[in-house]
Amino acid sequence: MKTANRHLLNRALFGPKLEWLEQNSNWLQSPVEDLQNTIWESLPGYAPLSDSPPLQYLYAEDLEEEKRLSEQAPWKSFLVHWVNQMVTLDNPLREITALFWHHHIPSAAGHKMAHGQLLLEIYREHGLGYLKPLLVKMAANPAIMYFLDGHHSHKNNPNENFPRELLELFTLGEGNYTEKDVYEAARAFTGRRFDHHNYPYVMYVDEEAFDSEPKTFLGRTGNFNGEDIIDILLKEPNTARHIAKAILAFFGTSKPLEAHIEECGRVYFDAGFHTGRLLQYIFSRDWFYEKPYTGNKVKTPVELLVSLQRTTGMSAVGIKTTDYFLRSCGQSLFAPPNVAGWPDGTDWLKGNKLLYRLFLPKALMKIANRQYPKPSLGYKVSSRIKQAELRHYRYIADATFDEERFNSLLSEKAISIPQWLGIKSNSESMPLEECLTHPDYQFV
Amino acid sequence: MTRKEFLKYNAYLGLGALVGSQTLTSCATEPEYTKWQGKRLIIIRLDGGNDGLFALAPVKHGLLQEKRPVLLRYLTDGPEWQPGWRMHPALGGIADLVQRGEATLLPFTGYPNPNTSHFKSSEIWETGRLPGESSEKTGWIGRWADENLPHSSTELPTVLNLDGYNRIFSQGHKCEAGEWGEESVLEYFEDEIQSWKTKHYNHPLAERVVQQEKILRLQDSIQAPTGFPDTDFGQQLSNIAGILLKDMPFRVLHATQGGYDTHLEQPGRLQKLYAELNHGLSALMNSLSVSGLTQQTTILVYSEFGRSIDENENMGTDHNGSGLSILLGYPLLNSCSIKTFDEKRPDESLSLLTNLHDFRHIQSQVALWLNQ
Repeated sequence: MKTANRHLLNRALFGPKLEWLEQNSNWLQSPVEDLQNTIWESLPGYAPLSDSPPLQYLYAEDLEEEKRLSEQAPWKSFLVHWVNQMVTLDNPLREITALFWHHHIPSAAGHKMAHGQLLLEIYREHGLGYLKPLLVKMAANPAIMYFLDGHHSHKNNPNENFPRELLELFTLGEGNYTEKDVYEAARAFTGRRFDHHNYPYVMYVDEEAFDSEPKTFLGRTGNFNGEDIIDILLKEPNTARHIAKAILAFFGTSKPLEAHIEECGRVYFDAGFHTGRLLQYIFSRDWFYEKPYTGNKVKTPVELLVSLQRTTGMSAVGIKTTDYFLRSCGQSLFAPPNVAGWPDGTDWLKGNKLLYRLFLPKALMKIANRQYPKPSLGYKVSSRIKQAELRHYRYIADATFDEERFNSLLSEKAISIPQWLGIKSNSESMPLEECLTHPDYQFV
Repeated sequence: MTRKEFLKYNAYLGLGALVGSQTLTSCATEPEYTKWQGKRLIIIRLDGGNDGLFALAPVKHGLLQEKRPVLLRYLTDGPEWQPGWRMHPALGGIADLVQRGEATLLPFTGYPNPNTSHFKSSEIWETGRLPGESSEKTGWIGRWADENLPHSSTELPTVLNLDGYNRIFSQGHKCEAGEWGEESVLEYFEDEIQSWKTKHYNHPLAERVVQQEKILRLQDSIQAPTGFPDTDFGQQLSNIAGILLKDMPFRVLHATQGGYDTHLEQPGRLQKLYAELNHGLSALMNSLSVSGLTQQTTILVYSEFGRSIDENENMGTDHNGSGLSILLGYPLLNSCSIKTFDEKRPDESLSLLTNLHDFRHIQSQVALWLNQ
């Protein structure tokens, strides 16, 4: 596989699929410029997750258990459905971008997961398009507004929680607004209420609670409402810069170069905040295929679980396994640790989270091949694979390491670790289990 | 390194220098570790910005009465701290500790020009530095540990986070906190971990794997005392008590109680949180007392900021300046002089930017005490 293609596939599509590795397909071998075009040309149109086919299970016993779990915790079904889309679609760019937005504008949904599902659909539908509809719909979504107390704000005493995070975390970034701006934005978002009689809740504006007096926000004065505030935020280059930085951190490296943040901020602003165009620009830059954007991003737990399944053909079975894997590695979807979302970079590689992410992938592969490492773990997770011939062993290394790194690993092992001496050449690849627990597997 | 050499190296991972009051456990059924019987700091973070004025307030203050007509009523029947000041009724156990001289309340603790972002204000508290003072992202405890404790990547960490989050306060150039976890990881991956260590002993992640394995083995050996709240926070405090009882070598222990971002429905939410905090701290102080550790243990309770003096329409409060800190334990009771408002000062003295106690003074007193 070409190094540049590996990089782009890992960042944009959760990595290559097993079939491509087996067939040495064009996804792996075409010039990277062609692959960039293919990614955009093959992008499926938006369709709600509820329209996608139901999950398939190899064994009836899995289906029965999943039905039971789904009845116990129905809100988890759609999350598994989403993760399954990431695994099975040839081109899950829409899904990885929605995951970015869930990182950037995180929200918990508690047991009212239909609200979380609505928010996810906003991210899926608009995540690659213009930012304005994403922000406007997000600010009317019950999951985010309950999470940030935006559902009860009254003109007599505006609640600042949602507007503060809108400015600080989601758009402008800290230092680019004043306390007065937060207060004025809070006034503009007063009166937002949700109809509790129908679930999922729908937002309406209580005119009695809305502050209809003039406001001055970021130097502009008018009788602004929430959408007006969003319009003003989208006139600010700092909004473009802040989000471009977050996009570079998610798709590139946790510490992007300042010059590239500036460059991408300008591109995003000039593109009218069209996120797809910014991604297209980033994926086509030469610097995106060089350090520090290559090889040093710690996979998020979702990326780890999804790429593992795409590359090996193994299926982590349903709610039980997906939930356990993500929770153990520290990333329960729609349950972020705080309003800023999840950590990034090497913060994922600490404590028990590190042990789980180092050893669960291999355990899942063993379980799929009917080799239960520990019976007690077998109660927690299930995994299946269609062919027990272990064909995936041959390709995992190619998907994980570039040639230079692979050769250097061979060399290291020949010197220091006898277990690795069985590797004779690149073509035979290294044993799968060694790849899955190799420290490099944690990075992408 | 040969396998034989590695095994030899591995055998030494649990051994530290025998200095000061440290001794080495040698019980066959427990993991070996270097005991620590000296001073310890327990940091408890009230996450989200505790409304200090709902925990302790000068209830007769004119401005407060004007701005908080509803919220102030919840303190009417609370214990009196000083003339004119009352605590929330759910904090009766802490009030008793104050009465007995085992705790100090430090109202309006903060810093000049308060930042009302959770993240920025947390960063200011945890780094111990105001904006612009330094671009270096190290924490106040991390720097203390770097400067005062020998660092060994194979020893147990100086700081242990019971809440499972990594925070800046413990980040030094050398110091890095450990995390409490679930013991079942060892049950599942015992063989894998041993095998992995032999293959990757020289990789930077190996230090973390080795450390986490040691923490988990220690965890497995403690018997956490009962009598703590049956909540996640209560479990963190109970585990801290268990660690102290076994003289485990963590000098700084960190726990978090979340849920303090009370933009709405504050009375009910804080009633529950204060009851849990009150119960947990009382149980922890009792455990320290029973085990004779009160003279060498300090507990610092803080929140990243306080909240607005105005109550909002949702029976909540918004982010604002300084908040309430609490020091528990004997060692530092007299190190921070308690300041309150002068009754004769104009009402504006209760402005939200009021900063009676500078958090860096408290941090420096704690660090000085740890070094004494």
